[in-house]
Amino acid sequence: MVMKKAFAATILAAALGTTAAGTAGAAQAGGATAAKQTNAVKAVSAKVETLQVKQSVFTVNYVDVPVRTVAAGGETLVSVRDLSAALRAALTTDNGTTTVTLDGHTFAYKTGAKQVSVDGKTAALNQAVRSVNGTAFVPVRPLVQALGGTMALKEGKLAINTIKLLVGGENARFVNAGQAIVSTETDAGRSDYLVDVATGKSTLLLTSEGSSDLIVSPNGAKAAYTDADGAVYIIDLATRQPSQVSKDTSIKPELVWSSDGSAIYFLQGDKGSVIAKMDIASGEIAKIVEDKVDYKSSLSVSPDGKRFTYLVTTPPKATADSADLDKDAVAIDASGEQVQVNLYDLSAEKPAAVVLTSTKDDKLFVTSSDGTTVYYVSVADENAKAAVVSVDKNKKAVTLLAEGDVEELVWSGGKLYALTAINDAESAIYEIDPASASSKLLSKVPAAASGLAVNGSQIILALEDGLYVKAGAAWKPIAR
Amino acid sequence: MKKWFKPAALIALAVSLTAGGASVASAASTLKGKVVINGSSALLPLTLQAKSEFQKLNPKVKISASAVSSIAGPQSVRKGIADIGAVDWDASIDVPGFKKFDGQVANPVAVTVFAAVVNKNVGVDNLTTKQLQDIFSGKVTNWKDVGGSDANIVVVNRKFGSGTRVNFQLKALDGKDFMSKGDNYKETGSSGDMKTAIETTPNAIGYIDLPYVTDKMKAISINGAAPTEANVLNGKYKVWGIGYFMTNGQPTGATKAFIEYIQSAKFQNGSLKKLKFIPLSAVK
Repeated sequence: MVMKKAFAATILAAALGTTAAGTAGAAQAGGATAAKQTNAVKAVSAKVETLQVKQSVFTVNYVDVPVRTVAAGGETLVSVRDLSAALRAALTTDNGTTTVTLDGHTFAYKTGAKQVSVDGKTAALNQAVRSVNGTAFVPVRPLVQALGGTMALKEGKLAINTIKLLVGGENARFVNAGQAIVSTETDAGRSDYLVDVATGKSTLLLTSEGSSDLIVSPNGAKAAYTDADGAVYIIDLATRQPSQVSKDTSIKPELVWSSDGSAIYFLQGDKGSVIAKMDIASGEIAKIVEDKVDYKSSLSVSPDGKRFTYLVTTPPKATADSADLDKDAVAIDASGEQVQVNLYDLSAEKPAAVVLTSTKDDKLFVTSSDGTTVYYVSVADENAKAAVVSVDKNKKAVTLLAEGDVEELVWSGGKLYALTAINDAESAIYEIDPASASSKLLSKVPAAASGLAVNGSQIILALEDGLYVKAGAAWKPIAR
Repeated sequence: MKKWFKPAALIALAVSLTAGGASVASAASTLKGKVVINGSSALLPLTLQAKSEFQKLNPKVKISASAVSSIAGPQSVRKGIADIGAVDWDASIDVPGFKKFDGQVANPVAVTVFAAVVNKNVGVDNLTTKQLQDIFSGKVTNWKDVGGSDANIVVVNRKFGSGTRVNFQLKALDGKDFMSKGDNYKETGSSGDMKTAIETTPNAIGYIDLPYVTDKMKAISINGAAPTEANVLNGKYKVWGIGYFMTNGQPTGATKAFIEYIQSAKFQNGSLKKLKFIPLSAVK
């Protein structure tokens, strides 16, 4: 839109039998349009008004845009054409009635009339719709409200927001610096959305029943998932088109992308006993590790595809003698119960799982980017504070963060990010540099925070009333 | 305890959170405790999957899950060595072979599909209820009598106390009795042992819950219906049951929260389906 400088136009009431005439200023700045203005103004007022058309800046859906406004009757009126263009609302005119349509809402008006139609129902404005130099001006508040938007004054500018934030959004994962996948869950299934991190605008990506979480590829272009039967699909995040990779329906508890995006590694079987690799181009499956060790989980694969790290859970040993049920001859021996980090190196002379840890703690949020050092949150017991720990291929363990009581850990761009509870009211986000084993406080957040997602300097958190993205020192909602 | 049992108070997000504290109405109560689960081996993969997800939301809840047989579940609760008894039938009421467990509450967690399975060398793909009754009672002993090749049938049964056995007897054999001894008869103590026996024993037939079926065995159709979720939902396949978490009275605290997690739409439609169980809502 070519914007013009502020100009003034004198409106003479129709009752006086004159038409609007451009002033010298209008002729200069507004050019031919204003000068040739011939539309009759059907204002009912008998007195002569001077409406000053002002060039204003509104923040429309987080973007600053210039719009023409006039002040009249204690209200701000906005050029319908300018605001509609900024909102990407449709404008249609039929028989003198102009209709603005946005997201299923309609606002219909006639120039010079107070009575308007909102979603097909009659409503009254405080003042009539004005026409200045052929441009219709409507009180901004009722127009925005009619279109389902909100208004607020921010940094001296009128901020208009018509983006409908996703309701019930959770489980945010970054796709790239600008977008995250956010899911909503109902009894009928799950919907996954691509959410613009800057504005909260969401686009439906996939609706499914019984599908696994979407796992984003390393370059952020695609996501992989299994359907309710266990078959692997890939969805292109730009075109939103899913395609089946393989008809194999074996149970796949976890999917992990190869670093070049050409294959998907997965744990196979209800006990995650096997580590397998699926070639995306051919759909062919090769079993990589088949060592009859059950209950593998939290799989990570090194960039070269040679080293695999994962947890192995050893349940307690239970025994029972069912000869006489009334005797309750059952026993649980938990002495051998443990969850340990394992490393399987295919490039070793005799590949075999090496158990890197021996502690009896719970190990959560396990991740490894290189297949040689594994990071996790160690929870010794219910009364101990949880810490971020690393263990390397030589079984050397280092505590990386012991601040607070660590609740979540994510890996992004060579750094670890931990959400940790400081006290009953407050949690904190720490950035950990594994290379130097140093950490720094990034942000303090309410204790209710959870669902940490990080992409470089961008952070998404779930609070009780929605998902928020860090914007400078403030947090901005992107889902409710 | 971040996502469960939170007070409904909204956190008013101020322009900046760096000051913290002031706008927070109440602290997140961190759920603590230990939940011990014992019982059905069919339900163990589901329990362990739920454990790893639940602990990410509730790091201070220790969950210890083991398995031996269904009947050991409510027995462990009665004996006081487990908070949850995982069992493949409702143990709060009498079922054939097992009396009810007084004072225990049956919390439904999943629909389990049971499959008749054979070694890969067996050429039979479908058996009727009558043929299954004849095979598992020892009346028919050669595969050629049910449409297969001339070979002795090896019957693999689960030991008494198995929930898979209770369900298979009730729903696949219409309550008819199993054989209990013979040269070509063996009993296994768990789903895992059954899996190994069927995979490695030529001419073997047994039964197992659907998640345990591997590509090294064959799940056969019963009365023309394959053991699939679709056939359970459309009523063609009858050999399924509901798995329960038995508790001593109504569950409380961490035990209650864990059961509610397994019963949540997110878990039922997500990981539970991924492990080839069927959500409770599908068969209501």
